[in-house]
Amino acid sequence: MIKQFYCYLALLLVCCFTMPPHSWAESQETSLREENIEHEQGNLQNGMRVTMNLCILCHDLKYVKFRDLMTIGLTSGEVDKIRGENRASDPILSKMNAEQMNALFGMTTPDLSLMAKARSGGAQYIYSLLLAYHERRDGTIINNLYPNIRMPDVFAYSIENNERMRATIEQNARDVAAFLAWTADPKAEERRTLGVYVMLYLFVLTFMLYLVKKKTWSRLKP
Amino acid sequence: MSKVIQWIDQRFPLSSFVKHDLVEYPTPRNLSYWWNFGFLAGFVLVLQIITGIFLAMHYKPDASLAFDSIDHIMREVNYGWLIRYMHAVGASAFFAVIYIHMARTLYYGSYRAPRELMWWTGQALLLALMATAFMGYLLPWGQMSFWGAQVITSLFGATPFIGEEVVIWLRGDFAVGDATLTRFFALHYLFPFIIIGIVIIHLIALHHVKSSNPSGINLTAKNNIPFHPYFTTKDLFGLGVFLIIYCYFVFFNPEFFIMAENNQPANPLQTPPHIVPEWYFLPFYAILRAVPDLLGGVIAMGLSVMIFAAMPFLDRSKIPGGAKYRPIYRAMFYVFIIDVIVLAYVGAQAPTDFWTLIGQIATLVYFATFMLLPFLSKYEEKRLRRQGLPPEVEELIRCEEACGCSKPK
Repeated sequence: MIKQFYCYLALLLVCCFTMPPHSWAESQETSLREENIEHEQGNLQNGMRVTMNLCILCHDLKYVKFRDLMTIGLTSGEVDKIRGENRASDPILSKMNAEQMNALFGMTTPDLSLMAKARSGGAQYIYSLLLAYHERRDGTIINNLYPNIRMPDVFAYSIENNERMRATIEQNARDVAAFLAWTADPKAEERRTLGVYVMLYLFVLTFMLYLVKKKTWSRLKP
Repeated sequence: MSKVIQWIDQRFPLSSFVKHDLVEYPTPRNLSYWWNFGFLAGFVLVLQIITGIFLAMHYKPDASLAFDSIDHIMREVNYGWLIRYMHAVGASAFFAVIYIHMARTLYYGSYRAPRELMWWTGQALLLALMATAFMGYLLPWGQMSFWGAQVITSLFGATPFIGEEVVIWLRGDFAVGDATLTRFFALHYLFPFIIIGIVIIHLIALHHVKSSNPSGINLTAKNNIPFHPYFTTKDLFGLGVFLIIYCYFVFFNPEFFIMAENNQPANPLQTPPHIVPEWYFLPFYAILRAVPDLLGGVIAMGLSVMIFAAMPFLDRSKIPGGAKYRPIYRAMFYVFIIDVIVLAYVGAQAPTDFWTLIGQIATLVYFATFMLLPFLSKYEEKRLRRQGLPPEVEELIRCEEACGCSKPK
């Protein structure tokens, strides 16, 4: 646990105080990024890995249980590796407890399970927020989408110059957003599948009811 | 089977009730699809009660468990997501159906004699529905649930002399908290059954005075047709169309009516930047905010809901047939509908100077349409009669003036 804590501190220091080779222009982005977020299983799994390696250091996913990860295509062996000593029916929680979070941020970090539903803009907002970090002329880093955020630039996107690395970070951010969209609404696929059948049934039923109505009323003399 | 029914009929008027009130019940044949919405409201009421009872089996009305229990329903309970989304979308559907039902009544003047009691029981139903929806909205214990309840209960603080006591009495605590949640849950479960009671009164009144119809004239026997099979089939077709729209939201856009803030658990220490009620309360919320004084705003808001009850007195025209045959009333109807939409839009905006001004103008228009109605309706009647009405209509108006009834001889 202490190790995680130091890991995090190191990350924080790297993100906040590394002097960049040059300054990015200070742009004020208030609108969300428009790139399409893909929700394929591969994206969800990559997003899950990034989330488990990075976000889970500080954030909980308390409504998601380890065994739920099998619905995005993980084998039970892979889930076993991820859960470690936790049971498969345990919720996915951060290694940090509330006290450590408070010591670090002055607040408890929000749970991420519902984040994609709890912010207007949903997954697109999460994706944009993760990449909205910019370095100012004085070397400090600011999130233009949410300037009061206490989360550091975990992807170190603001100080990354390599175009290929930047593209990888963008892909990872999109996949994290896709994964969190799944954690917020894991029944979405089941719902839409069932919905198609329900709608088809209703269209047929309503059309037949229309015919019955028409036939019934045609008996009526003017 | 027939023996059983015979046995029952000797003790309870089952067959005659079914025959009189369901099968042969005389219904005007010229009813348009706007007359489907009463049936639809009844259907949504049943839907809400059934889904609500199943939700209550898994929900925990406890401030520390409520939010988690909703998520438990969404993830762990078999088809819990379906039941919950049906209930959440159902609330919006209920108001949509009721507002259309009310707009139809206003357009066709169905609130006029002899249907005043239908209109007033309807007004009671609207109030009960609003109370039920408001209390139900607290139950998910999200940010907007909590702060919405905080704001609305605090309005009762405007009560002269005992305001503070009233607020504490309502909340059961000094702030919205566990006590409030538990009592709102209890009342949210109770109110639908009170609504059923009022609906029965509403229907008894309906079956006494019978449906109004687009012509506004009580029809002769040959123009009334039995409810079954004509309106059973028409209502079922309307139900199909309704279900298509409803199920689109349930299955493909279920969070459309749920604000993002309400997917964050209630936090009494963090006020959301904009506290916005659900869409169906927005016009009234805009009226509340249009008045600078709190007490004045609360009175204006209360009046804006209750003023519908005065419609039978405010509309002094004897011209039958609703807005279709009354050009001034028709214009006022459309101005009113547009004004309500403007108010709803203003209610959703942050209260800047501009939006407050628009809200104030729209509030004035809202009340002005009601206040001008007695004069304009009388003027309109005189003008139409000067221009000449069909003899049957004149006959009808004379009869009404003579005996105070609208039944043709």
